[in-house]
Amino acid sequence: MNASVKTYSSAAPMPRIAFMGPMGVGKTTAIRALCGDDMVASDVPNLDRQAHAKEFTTVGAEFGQIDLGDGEFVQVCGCPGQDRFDFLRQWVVSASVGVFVMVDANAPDVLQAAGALLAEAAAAEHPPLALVLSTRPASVATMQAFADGLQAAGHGVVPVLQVDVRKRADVLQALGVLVSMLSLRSESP
Amino acid sequence: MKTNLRGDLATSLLAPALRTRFSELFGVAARKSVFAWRESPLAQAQVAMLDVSSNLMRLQPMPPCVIWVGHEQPGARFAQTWVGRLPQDYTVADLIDILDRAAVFLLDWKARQNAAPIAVAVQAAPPAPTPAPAAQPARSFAHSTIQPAAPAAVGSAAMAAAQGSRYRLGSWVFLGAPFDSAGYVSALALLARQPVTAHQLQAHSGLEPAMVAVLLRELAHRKVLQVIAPTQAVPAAASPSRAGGAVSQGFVRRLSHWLTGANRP
Repeated sequence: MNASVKTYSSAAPMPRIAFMGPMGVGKTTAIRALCGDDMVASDVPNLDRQAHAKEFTTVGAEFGQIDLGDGEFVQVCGCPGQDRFDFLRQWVVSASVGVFVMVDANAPDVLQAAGALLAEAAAAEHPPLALVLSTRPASVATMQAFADGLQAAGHGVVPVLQVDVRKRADVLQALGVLVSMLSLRSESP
Repeated sequence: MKTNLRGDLATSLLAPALRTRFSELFGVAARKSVFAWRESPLAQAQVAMLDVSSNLMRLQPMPPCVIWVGHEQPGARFAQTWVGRLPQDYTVADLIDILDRAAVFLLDWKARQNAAPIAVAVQAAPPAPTPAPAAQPARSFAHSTIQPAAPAAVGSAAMAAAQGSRYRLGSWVFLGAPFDSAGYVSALALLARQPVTAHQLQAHSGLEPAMVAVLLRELAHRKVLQVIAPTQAVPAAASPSRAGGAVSQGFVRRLSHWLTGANRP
C-alpha cells in the first residue's frame, strides 16, 4: 500500500491539489485515479462504524503526486473530513492551488458539510480555487437544489460536478475543469 | 434572485389580420421566450413587427430589431438593424424561436448601451435614438471571433459577437447533452468563477467559437446568463475572489499537457 514518494528538491513549494470530504466519500480512490500507486496513505481499522461502515479509514492526510516531467511534480492530498483534523486540512489547503470538496448530495447534512469546507478554503491566506464533486448518484433536482443551497448560503456560484471516482475518466475530467480555471487565473494580474 | 429579462415589442404596423394572429400566438410565446416580452407603442419598442403593408415611414426612431411576417417590402433595407423573418403561416414554435433570436441580439445590444448595468437586471429600457453602428449584425459578425456555424446559431453569435462584453453565470446549472462534455463544463466553471469574454471562454475551455455561442444561447435561454458591457465596471459581487496562490502559465501548460496524455486510452 505505502509506495514511496519521490522527493522534491526545488526551493519553490510543490504545487498542491487537495481532495476534502467526509469519510468514505472517495478521496483515496480519487487520488489513486490520478496518481496510481504513487501515493502514501495511512489506513487503519475504522473504529467509527456508526459514521461509516467501511473497515479501514485514513488517519491524517494522504499524499500522491503527479509527475509533470523535468523534475516538476504536483502533490495531490486527501484531507480527512472529521473535525479533529481541521488543523491538518488548513495546512494542506494553505498551499493548494485547487481543492475538490467531495460530497454525497443526497446526505441530509450535505449543505452544512460542504459549506464548512468551502468556507475553510475561502478563509485561507491564499484561497485556492474550489469545486464540489458529488460522488454518489443523485437526481438533477437534488443536485440543483444543492448547488442553489450553496449559493443561498453565501458561497457564490460554485461549480458542482457529478463524478464517479471509480472511473478514472471522471476524475480526469474534474481535474480538467480545475486546470481550465487555473488557466484563467494564470492570465489574471 | 433571478430577474427576468424584458423586451418591448410593437405590432401597430402589422395588418389587422396578421396582428390578430400574432396576438393569439404571442400569449403563449411570450411565456416561453428568453425575454418577458410585452407589447408597447412603436416609439418605445425594441422590436417592430412588420409585413408587406406596413408604413415604414413611421419607423422613427428605428428600433434595433425588426421582424418581417411573410413577404418583405421590396427595396426595404435596414442598415443598422437586426432583421428576423417569419413565414406567413408561422407557428408558436417559430415565434418563440424568432423572439429568442431577437432577445439574444438585444442582450448584446443592451450591454452596448451604457444605460444597462447588467442585462439581467435591466428594466424595460427607453428606446435609443439611434442604434450604435457597432450593433449592426453583419458588421458584428464580421468583426467577431465567433462565426455562426449554422443559421440556428445566428442569434447566439450576435450575442457572443460583443467583443469585450463579459459573461457570468447567475447560478450553477446542470445541462444535459451535449453540454455535459469536459469543454462545456469547463466553460461553465469559468463563467461561475468570474466575468469572462467569449474569447477567454474559448482560450481556457478549448471550445470552438460556435460551441461557445451555442452555450451562451442556452444559458440565456435558461435565464442564468449575466452580460456586462465592455465599458461597464465589474460589480464587486461579480469580481473574482481575492487571488489565491500564484499559478504560472508554464505550470498550467505542463499540467494540461499531462492531462492530455493521461486521457489517452
